[in-house]
Amino acid sequence: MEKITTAMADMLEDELMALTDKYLAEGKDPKAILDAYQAGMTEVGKRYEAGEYFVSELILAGEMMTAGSDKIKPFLKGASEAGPTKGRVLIATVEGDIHDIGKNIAGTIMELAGYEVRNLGEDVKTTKIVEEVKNYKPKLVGLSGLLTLAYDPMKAVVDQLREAGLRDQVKVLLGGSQIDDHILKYVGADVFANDAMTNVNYLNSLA
Amino acid sequence: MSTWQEKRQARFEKWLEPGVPFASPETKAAYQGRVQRIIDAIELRKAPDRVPVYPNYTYFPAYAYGSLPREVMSDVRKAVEIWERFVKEYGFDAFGIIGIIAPIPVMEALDYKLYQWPGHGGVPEDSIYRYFEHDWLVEAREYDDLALDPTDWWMRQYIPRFCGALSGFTKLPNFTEFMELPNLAGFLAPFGLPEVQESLRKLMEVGSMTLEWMGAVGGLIGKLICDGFPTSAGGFAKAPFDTLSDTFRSFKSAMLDLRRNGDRMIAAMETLAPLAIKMAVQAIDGSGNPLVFMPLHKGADGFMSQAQFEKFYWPTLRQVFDGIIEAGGVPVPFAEGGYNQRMDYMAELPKGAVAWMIDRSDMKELKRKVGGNCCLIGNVPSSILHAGTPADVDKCVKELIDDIAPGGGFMLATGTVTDEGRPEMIRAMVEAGLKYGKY
Repeated sequence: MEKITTAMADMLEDELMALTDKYLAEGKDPKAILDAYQAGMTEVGKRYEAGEYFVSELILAGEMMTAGSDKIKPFLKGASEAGPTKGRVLIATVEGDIHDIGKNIAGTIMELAGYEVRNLGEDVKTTKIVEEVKNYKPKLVGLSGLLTLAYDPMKAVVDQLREAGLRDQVKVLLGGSQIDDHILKYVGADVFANDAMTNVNYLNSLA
Repeated sequence: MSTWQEKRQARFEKWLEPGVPFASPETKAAYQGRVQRIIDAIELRKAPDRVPVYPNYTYFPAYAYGSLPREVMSDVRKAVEIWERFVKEYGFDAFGIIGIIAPIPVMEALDYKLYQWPGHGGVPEDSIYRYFEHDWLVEAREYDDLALDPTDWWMRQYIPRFCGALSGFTKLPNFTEFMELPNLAGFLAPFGLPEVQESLRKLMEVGSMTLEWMGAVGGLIGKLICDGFPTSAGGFAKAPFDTLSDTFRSFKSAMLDLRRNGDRMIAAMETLAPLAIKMAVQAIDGSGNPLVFMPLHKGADGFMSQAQFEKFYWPTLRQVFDGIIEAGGVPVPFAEGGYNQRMDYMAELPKGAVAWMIDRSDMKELKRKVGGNCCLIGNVPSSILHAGTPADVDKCVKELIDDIAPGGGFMLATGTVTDEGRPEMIRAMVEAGLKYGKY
């Protein structure tokens, strides 16, 4: 199984797929194969944190994980796939903005760090975000936006969370390269991030 | 053979003396003063009078006068009226017109799919245009087609995908076959096909519409120059990696290509680099303004590792810079986002050859590392312009000028492209620039 972990960690896509097919055909324990994939993903996360890997490796790792899971799932026979998580996170690009790259990278990194992430997508209405906070009960809601047009919708989310009595139950994080202290204060959020590791460090500090 | 400095000097002289009928000796002096101020900043000379205030906006003029992008993209007379008023009232040292060179009627007639615009494709009526990301280059093997014959790939594969009205172009023949008698019939016959003829008719129709539109925009540019205001740039180019990763491939596919199809990407970029240079140089020849605006995207911190940047992004970008510089032009790359990890590359450029527009990078560090080689333009943040007060803007501009202007090589601008915004804040920025920017 170490070969699976290494192939994932080293981005050896063809080798990983060939090994997976081989092990499944040989009747090896599918749960052990999946665990080896996850160990590989953890290593990818570490290499990202160390600056060795970047966005292209995260995306490729995600692709390999999906392709591998699709092969393994039919062999799992209802065994539980997901382990316990460190907490829930809700992420969305706010109304009026459709930029998704930064938000999706942040989501991937938080998943790799052990959090359960629900991604509401882009141009998400304020009322929808507030409703999801109420129902999903995340410990953190991440609001993303690249355009200056996103500042006011971000503020509207925080205002409506307060009006709905939810503001104390959830931390609000702002993401986007134009976000800084001025906007943090303007919106009334808890923290902002210009890179994906800030989110994880902040989440871990909440534990 | 003259040096790039000599060629550039000749272009600067032409920019200073455009051969137009200035409205008055005063407007001529104002024009030449503004152009000289910008040239001095680019050449890292301490300007005789003050720091130039350089524009970085698309639709701000529309919002500032109670119009909307949709209106100025639909009605060129309205656009021209607003732009003229804006340029004359706001006091920037140059003006930009990107915001009014995208006519909605033309994009509708073309069924243009690369962008969406207000009221179309889910963009709110009061918003700006937006780019629609998609794998227009469908499979990675097409990089090879592009590298082999870019024009053919463009005409028969790429264009029919992003222009619905030109879908007939997929049936076009290969133009390099049009020569000897045995090829004659095979080349010409496709032009008889109804779908090809329909696409050609459409193209002529949008050509006429655009010519009329550009006539009005060209008239505005000529008038503003005669009234004393230079254009902010005379040409446009992109980093070859951005052409691949913004314009041909979706972000996700481009990032996967870095791992899966790196050699193909490099071959395609090596084909694109001379084309980018050619586009830029033809434009500055035509416009008489040697500045080439180059919006950079995936080179920003956070998209690529340093190793990927060095292998994939920088070499062909550097090639485009060098090609433009060699022809006497001035690359004006817009380093949108943060470029804090790329400063060593920026510092390698020939002295006084490139002027960088800066958004979120550390300006003081840039001044220290890059300021000796390149002019820096920037970078009042959108956050202050949006959430601050005019006094905050005044303070921010003063600090910028105190830190970055000494010794020359600095132009004041907003960090990000301004669209919607508060007029009093932009006015405060220009006023503070005039107040504190004197040398």
